Amino acid sequence: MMLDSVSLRKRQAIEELSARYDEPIWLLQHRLKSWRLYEDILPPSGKEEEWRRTDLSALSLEGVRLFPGPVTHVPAPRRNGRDGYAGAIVQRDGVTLSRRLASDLERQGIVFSDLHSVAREYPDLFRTYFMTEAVQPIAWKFVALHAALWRGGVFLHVPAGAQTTVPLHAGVGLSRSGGIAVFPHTLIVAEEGSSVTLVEEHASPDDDRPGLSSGVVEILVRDGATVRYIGVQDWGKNVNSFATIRAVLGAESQLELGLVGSGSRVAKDTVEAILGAPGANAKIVGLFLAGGEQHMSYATLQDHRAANTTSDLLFKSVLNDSAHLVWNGLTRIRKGAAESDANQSNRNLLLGENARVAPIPVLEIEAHDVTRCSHGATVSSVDEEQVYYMMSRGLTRQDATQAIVDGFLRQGLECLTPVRGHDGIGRALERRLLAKVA
Amino acid sequence: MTDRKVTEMMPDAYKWGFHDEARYLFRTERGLSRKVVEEIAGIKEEPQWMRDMRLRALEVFESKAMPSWGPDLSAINLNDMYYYARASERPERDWSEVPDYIRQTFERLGIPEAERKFLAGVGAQYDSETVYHNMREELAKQGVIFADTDTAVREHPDLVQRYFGTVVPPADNKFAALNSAVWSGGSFIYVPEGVQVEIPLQAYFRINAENIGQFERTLIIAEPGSFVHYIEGCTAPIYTTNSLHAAVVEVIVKKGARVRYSTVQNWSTNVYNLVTKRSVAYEDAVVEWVDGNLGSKVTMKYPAIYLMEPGAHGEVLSLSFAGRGQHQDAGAKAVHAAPYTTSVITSKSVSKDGGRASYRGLVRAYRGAKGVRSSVRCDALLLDGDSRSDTYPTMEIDERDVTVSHEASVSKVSEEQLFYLQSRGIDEQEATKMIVNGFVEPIVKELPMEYAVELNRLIELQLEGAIG
Repeated sequence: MMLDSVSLRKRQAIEELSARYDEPIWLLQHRLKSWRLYEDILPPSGKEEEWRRTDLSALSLEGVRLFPGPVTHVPAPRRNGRDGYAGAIVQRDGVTLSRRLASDLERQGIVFSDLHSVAREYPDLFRTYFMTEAVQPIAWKFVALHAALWRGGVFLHVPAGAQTTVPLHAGVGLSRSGGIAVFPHTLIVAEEGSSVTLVEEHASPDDDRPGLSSGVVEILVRDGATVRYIGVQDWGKNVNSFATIRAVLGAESQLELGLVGSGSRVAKDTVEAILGAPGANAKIVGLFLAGGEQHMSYATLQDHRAANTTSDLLFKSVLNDSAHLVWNGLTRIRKGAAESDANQSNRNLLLGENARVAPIPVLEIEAHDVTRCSHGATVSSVDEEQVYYMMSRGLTRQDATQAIVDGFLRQGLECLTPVRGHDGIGRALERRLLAKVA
Repeated sequence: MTDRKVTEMMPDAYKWGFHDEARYLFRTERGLSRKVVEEIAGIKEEPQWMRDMRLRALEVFESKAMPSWGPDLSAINLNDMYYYARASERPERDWSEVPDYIRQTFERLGIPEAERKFLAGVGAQYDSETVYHNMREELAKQGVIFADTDTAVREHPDLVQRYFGTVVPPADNKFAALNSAVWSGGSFIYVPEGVQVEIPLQAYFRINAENIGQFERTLIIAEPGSFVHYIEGCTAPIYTTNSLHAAVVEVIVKKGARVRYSTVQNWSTNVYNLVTKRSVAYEDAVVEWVDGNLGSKVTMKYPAIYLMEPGAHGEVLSLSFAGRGQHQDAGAKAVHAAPYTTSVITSKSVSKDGGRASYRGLVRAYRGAKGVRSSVRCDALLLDGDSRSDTYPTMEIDERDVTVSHEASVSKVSEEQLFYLQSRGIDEQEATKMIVNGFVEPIVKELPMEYAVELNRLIELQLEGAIG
């Protein structure tokens, strides 16, 4: 009886949420089904390799409201069309504050919008792609929760052959991060031969109360298409954030995935590139800066399922104070993935006296006809000799350290400059990152 | 020798023909129980502390689950095994019962007749007693103790009690617990302060039927400033009908001492080889593990070095060869528990005919272990499309002031290399051999010459089987 009344209350809350966005019945059913999945899927026990090093209390929903009431509208931040983006969406607390898309992109049939609008205006597109192919609600407990409770969301659909040269931007924020749960969802579909770049930033103010983010990024790169996606995670310091980022690549397609992580108390992400067709190519670059008591954990997968596929992953971290970073990086070359080329590199710079890192690069090779499969990981601190050299040239210790960190990050930052000629984005990012380290 | 014959030497060509008739006179009952463990301690007339340790270990063994993170061990039937049979009462096998592939490998390697019979479990004694006695006298003058572990328990009880189980406690893992409960045989080596043992100590020299046991237990203590090189096993195949080999090796290397431990494992391909090898290195001490894995059905072995005091240095050279039906899950662990300690791990693996070679390793640096340097290098060579290679390295770095690196690569024998060699008039088989030999050379060259020669022959033999 007790249980029934609880699930009845949840059911009503989900119905309310769905009604608020005028959702069709099939979408409400999707949410309710996902909620049941959420209740059925067991939480991690902490014994799993992937979870062994992460404090499971980050999964606690205590003090976090899953069903916030309607949000009062906040004025959209002033943004003119000269920020270097061909389109932009601004969302706060799951509400879309503004959105724009350059007219030439609109003419090409590109859809760039929040998910609620897409569910209403392009139901077929939505039903075809939303959590059907790249990430399914069953992935793990918090993805099921996400599928039941998502709000806002960013949808980018690029029709076959449509080419964009100027990046798009999505800014997803919270007016406060304490006490609430958010479920950001990004769905990118690049149809055959198309190309697109999306820069997405997640940010919220620091807050004393715990917050929760359970996000999903789905990227479908069809045959011959190119997708560049840069995701910046800068949640407030008491947010526990979980993200499942999964890209499925078609034949001769290209994925460039850039991830920057600097926020959250606990940040635990799964990043997977499925190289499912011949000639697919994925490049993944991650830059992580953590300090204080931050814990960041990344599980990456480069899954070579077809011949002539290539992947290259570079993860770099700078860890201050007592920060802790875990990287479980798996490269899998399956039978039949002949002449594949896979590489993983992980470089860690430990600045903090109590900083810790656990790089775990794993290779599983079932095909012998690999062109190359390699990985490398390093852990080091700032080289005192270099610091001494620079100090002898008149730099302060802090400036010298800064210069070393700067040099360390530059290689990764260069990869994140989304489009040639658009280095303004890279520089802004760089300034922010470097400010964080200083 | 024609190719056809070589192919016959491959394990799968042979049908095991042994019947395990009840000819044992003193043998514990099938399966493991308190009674069996007490019987073993009783037969050996062991002191109370050893008996107690065995019984405690049995409890640990029973309480622990089978490891599920590595190779498939589900075919091991722990209840259907004999845990102890006294050596002198082991059955005399007939030479004709020894599988062809093993006999032919002996021939190819040029193993002396008497030794062949011992390795095949046919002769009870290998006649090395004279050599052994001479050497023992020489060593005894320097105060070196080199005995089988059972003898050491009787003759040097204080030394054994002081160190036994301190590096690998019974509770360490399920198979270490099993070994602690039922161990028998193995080597005990004690090298006094400052003594340099010039010649490698080999199990060969004190060979007796206890030596190649199922649950051997080896303990090496190197006092400050001493040096010893111990060689375990041999390149020649060791034939046994026991399907489980669970050994424990403990090595204690004190200040400024150096110990090198070389193993070439070539168990017959019915054996599950699950071994815990661990060393502790104190100030400025050096430990080197040279570990070759060629035989067995499944091997799980990760020689470990605990670097306990500043200046300690550890090295592991690991070579594995996984052929048909084999899974070599080998690797290394370096645990840096003190500042200014260093480690180097080099692993080379070759997979062929559907074999699977995995590197599994750990590098850990505890907080405060400043100035640690560690580098790991793993290379894998895949010889055909049915084979598999995995790399599972873990690094846990809790200290900022370290330099740790890990590198791995997986490759195949490339068409270009083959083409180049073939254009020089070398046939494909010969060319493949040359490439593989070049690949494993950095490890092979660290072995004593006679081992290196045998190892090379053995690899050639395996490759011929693959191609012919």
